[in-house]
Amino acid sequence: MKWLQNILKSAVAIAVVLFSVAEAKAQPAATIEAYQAYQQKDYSRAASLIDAVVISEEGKEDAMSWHIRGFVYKDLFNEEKNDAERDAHREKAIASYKRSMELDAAQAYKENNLKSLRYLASSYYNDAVLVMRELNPRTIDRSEELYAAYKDLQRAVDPSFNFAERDVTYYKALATSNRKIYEQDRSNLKDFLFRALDNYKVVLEIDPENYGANYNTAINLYNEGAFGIEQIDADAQIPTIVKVQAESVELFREALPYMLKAHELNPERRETLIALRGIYLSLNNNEEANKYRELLKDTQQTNK
Amino acid sequence: MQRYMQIRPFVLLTLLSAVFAFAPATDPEGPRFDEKDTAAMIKASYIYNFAKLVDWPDENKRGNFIIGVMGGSSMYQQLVTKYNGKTIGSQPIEIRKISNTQNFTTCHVLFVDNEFSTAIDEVVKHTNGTSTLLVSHQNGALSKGVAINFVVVDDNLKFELSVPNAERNNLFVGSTLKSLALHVEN
Repeated sequence: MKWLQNILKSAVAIAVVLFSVAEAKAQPAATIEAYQAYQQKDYSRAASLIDAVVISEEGKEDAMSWHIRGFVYKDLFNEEKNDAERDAHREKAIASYKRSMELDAAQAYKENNLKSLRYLASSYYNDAVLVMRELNPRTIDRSEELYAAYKDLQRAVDPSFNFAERDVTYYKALATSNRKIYEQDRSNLKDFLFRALDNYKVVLEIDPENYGANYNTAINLYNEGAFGIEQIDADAQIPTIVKVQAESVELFREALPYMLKAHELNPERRETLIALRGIYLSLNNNEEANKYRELLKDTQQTNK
Repeated sequence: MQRYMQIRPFVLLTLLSAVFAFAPATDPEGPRFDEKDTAAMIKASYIYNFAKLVDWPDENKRGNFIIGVMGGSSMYQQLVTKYNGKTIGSQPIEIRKISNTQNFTTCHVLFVDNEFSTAIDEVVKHTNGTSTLLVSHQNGALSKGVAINFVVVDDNLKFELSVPNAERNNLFVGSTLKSLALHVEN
């Protein structure tokens, strides 16, 4: 058993080294107590204790206490199932880490504060994606709110961070979610198709050469135009046919430049050729449609 | 005596392993191209209206109302899907696919799509004086004897009408249809 005692002694020594400061710094006793409760995973108690510390004369200007408060609320956030409570814990964690950084003249906690803030920033992003994937028309707006919160925090942590790539990925995915919501009920949720188109516009403002955004915008517009014509009632009279056709033709016309751009970006892509043929047929332009039919045949020949 | 403990900057092993994993927000499910023969849908809707707004002689108001299609299967299918089972007056609509070798004078309406445009002269010759409403989609078709012809204006399908060509086939074109045509030959 002596060998086991030696191992335990080493572990204690390591723990002491791990938790010893380079410079002498006195911490409020309640901070220590809060930390111990945190280590025991009694986060509620840890929160009560540390909350009292950070409003006390002793602890309100103590970077370490705020730092620990950050961890306490971060873990409360991780454990919490209720969305509103989660958000509240996360906000307290963020505020605590930020306050710790403000008070941390020696920057003893800077690195870990920043790491924690980046982690919480990523949690906003992940939540934004989860909400998006729910495809719920009543809550989809929350995804953009969470994404904005992610960007605010990320910007605070890293002012030079370039969001272009992340924005493109996010808004393309959001466009897909909005489109899928629209397809749940095309009669009553048409607003979500327009949102999807707006999302693609955001992408194209950042990256006008984005193949997916160009292609998907064109497809959404075409599909909507074709759907309108498909829905013409069997008993519809000629004025109705004329009106619906005109509205759909506008959509086909709007789709065309996006699909031509997609084709320009990737001339060999068959899906684009198929779509261009289809759009021109719907515009009653058989000459142009035949041109893309021939190009399709050529690609088939090339692939043989 | 207040006890203090010296605590080092809070090194948490969890932080060291905190990989800022971002859930993928990729877009692998872009919209699928839902290609439809919208021209066939529009033409089918028009043809049904032509059938309603033109008057046939009494002897042609018995039995099924036959709409013949010389064209692609899409056009035929659109008419079948939408109008099989409906009626013109008291006559149930029957859609028939017509090849250029068949007897097409049995049709009340015969639509000759643009892919059969070379057959139009033959069709006009065989339907002259019958009670067949000839509808086509070809440049200059009215001058060849067709009664109603589809034309494309600003990417939209519209129609032009020849009253004499219709009357030659014993058909009366109502004022409503005339008022809706892009162009009427009187």
